[in-house]
Amino acid sequence: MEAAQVKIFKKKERTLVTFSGEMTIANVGELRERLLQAFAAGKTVELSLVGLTAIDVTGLQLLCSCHRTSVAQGIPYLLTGRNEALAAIAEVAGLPRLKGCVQDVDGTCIWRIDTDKVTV
Amino acid sequence: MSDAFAQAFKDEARELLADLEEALLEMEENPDDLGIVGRVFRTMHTIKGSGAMFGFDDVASFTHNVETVYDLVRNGELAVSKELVNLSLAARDCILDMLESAESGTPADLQRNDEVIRGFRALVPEQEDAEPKPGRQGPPEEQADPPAPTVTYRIRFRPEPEIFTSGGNPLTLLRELQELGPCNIVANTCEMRPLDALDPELCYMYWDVILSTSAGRNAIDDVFIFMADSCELSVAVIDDGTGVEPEAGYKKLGEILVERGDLTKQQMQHLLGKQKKFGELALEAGMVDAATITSALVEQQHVKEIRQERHAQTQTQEAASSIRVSADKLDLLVNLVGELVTVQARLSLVAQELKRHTELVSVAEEVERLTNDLRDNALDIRMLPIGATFSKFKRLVRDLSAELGKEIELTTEGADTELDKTVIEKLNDPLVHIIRNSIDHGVETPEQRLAKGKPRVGSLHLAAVHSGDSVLITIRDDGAGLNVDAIRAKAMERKIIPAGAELSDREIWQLIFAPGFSTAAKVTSVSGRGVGMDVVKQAIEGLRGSIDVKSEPDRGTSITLKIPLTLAIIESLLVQIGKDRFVMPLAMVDECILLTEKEIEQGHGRDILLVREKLVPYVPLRKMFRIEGKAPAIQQVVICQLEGKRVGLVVDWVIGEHQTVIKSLGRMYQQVEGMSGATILGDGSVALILDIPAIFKSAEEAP
Repeated sequence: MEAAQVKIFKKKERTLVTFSGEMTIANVGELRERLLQAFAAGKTVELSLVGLTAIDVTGLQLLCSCHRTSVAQGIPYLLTGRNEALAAIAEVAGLPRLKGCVQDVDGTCIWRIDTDKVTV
Repeated sequence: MSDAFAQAFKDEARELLADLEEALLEMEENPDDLGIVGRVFRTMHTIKGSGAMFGFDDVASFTHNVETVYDLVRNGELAVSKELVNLSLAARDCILDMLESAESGTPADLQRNDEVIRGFRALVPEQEDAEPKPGRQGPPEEQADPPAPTVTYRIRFRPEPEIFTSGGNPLTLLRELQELGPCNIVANTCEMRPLDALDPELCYMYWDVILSTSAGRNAIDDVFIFMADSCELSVAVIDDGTGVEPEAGYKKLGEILVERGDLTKQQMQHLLGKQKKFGELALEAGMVDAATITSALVEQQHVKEIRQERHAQTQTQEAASSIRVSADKLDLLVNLVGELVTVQARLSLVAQELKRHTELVSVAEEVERLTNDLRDNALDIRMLPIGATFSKFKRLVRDLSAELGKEIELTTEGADTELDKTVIEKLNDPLVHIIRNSIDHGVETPEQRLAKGKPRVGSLHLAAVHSGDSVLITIRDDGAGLNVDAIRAKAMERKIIPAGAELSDREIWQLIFAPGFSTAAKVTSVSGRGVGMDVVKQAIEGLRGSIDVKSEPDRGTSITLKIPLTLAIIESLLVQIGKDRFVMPLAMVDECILLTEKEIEQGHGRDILLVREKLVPYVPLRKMFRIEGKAPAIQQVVICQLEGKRVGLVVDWVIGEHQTVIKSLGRMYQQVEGMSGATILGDGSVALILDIPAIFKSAEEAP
């Protein structure tokens, strides 16, 4: 198994987190710590998943949890570099939806279909 | 076991086998299409199942072996190969043999069956598959026959939070559910926490799944079998697969939420008091989460779609519903309709004579109209598309071209053209002869074709098209064409034509229908024995049809058969000679002209008439049938066309068009030349049906 890699780049107006490899129960704990750090910077958090090769339900939960954090703390959260590995699993897990959750007041839910964030 | 059931099985099995053959040939062309593999598998499965049910144990056990192999193919463990198709076609023939041997009592060729089975076994990579696989695949397959109704379930699946650490993966379960049938999955994330409060190794989600499946409740329980203790699971039937009214729609959103336990009845009724969309209300009131609403809406949509689809299916099923009627009963019906047409003609005649009775006249007209409709309908019932016959030829072409080392592609056109059942049955043999000839003599070997600069693969085209009250069936190949010189030489050698005779190409092409004619240098298993084309001609003429040949050297040959739509009732022309009346098929009649005594004299003893600057020979039927009495001063000539030749038939009067119900002549009269049948006219008298090709022939042979 390819070792997962997380890198944090502190940019001027945002914090870029790049992830590559498999996002599974084996590394979600560590990834959570890194993401907390990223949010702690207080700037827009961009999570790039270009290098994502596989994901399980814990990974999906983590992505969702980031969004909760963003809504709760008022820190914008962008999910970029979505790929088919993510879209396919999200589909199986029944995540793509038309409307976000109660907390999702601004309609930034990462699973919304009409925002073309999740390719279905 | 009742014979009637066994017969029904045999009938069904024959149809299935025909379908199987078609599917196998299709599979050979598209080996990667798993849909066709599935069709082959299902057909085998049905033959096996019903075979066992009706006591055809040999068929069942034989088919079982074949089915086992196809199970592997279907699962992608075995590739479709030429060998597999060959074996499968052989297996299809074996099954047909077994069915027929059960009927005739002669034992089937067990040795060949064993060989085929051995062939199949050799294809299976390892012996472990010889036994049917136990487990999940088995039971649902067996139950699929007859199909269980598609039931829609609502499944709420809430794993315990520690599911991940105990090695469980909800995705696997969701995927298994998806395999059972059309499935809508909604994950509920309302319990998700922000990162700081999140234990990433716990599960915060639960799932609502709406699944439509025919696999039954057990299959769903099987999916969760290893999770039973570590998840909350509720499964409820929300559509039992029986109602078909789409108008009824599905439950209101509020009702769904209450049923799911997401909302209490009181809460729902409280909300219903306000006039707003229920979902928005519930959301605004903060009683439920948006995801919960989404999930409930998905259920609503899913069931609506399923019900609509089922409604559509039921409708098409109703439209396509049919009953099986034995051909004898249909023949009887057509016979009775024939009698009715005759009686109706008589009624009309009587009504004509008693014109004063206006009421009788109007009733007679009504009866005439109804009889015509009834006749058209009755004949229509016996109409079958010719496609079934065409697809049989696919196999013939495939086997023959392989045997002769040729590569030939068969294309068909107009497979849905309908012809009377009896006509189609009688067409089969002539068509086989023509196709055999085309493959053997017409299409060249790949090497010869390449040398001539033609594509390597030869083509054979079968087309059927309606033309008036006839159907034209064309068999066209792109082979070498008819060799005019060889045919001429052979015809002279066999003294079919006199030495040195000058014949047009068209006349020479017709020579291939002469009895015992063959130009093939050597006799192959396929053709060359010189029996065939004359038989074809006889058969087609027996159907009151005609054959036309066209050929171009190295471009190919095209043979067109013109066949009447039906044999029972024909449109014809009623004529009179002396006191006798005759009918001739209208399809062959070109025109009617007058023949005066002066014109007869101009022929100088030869029966030839000048029509629009062209000479047309004629046959005086009065003389031919030796009818006594004197012909009127002005006679009429009915000019008929056959195989491109125009010949006149001289009669006293042409009476007019007539609906002729064909009656066959008694055995004593069957050999009478020039007559092909009889019909009963309105006044009860009998009119003979002229056999025009036979009259042409005897006139040609006359000195």
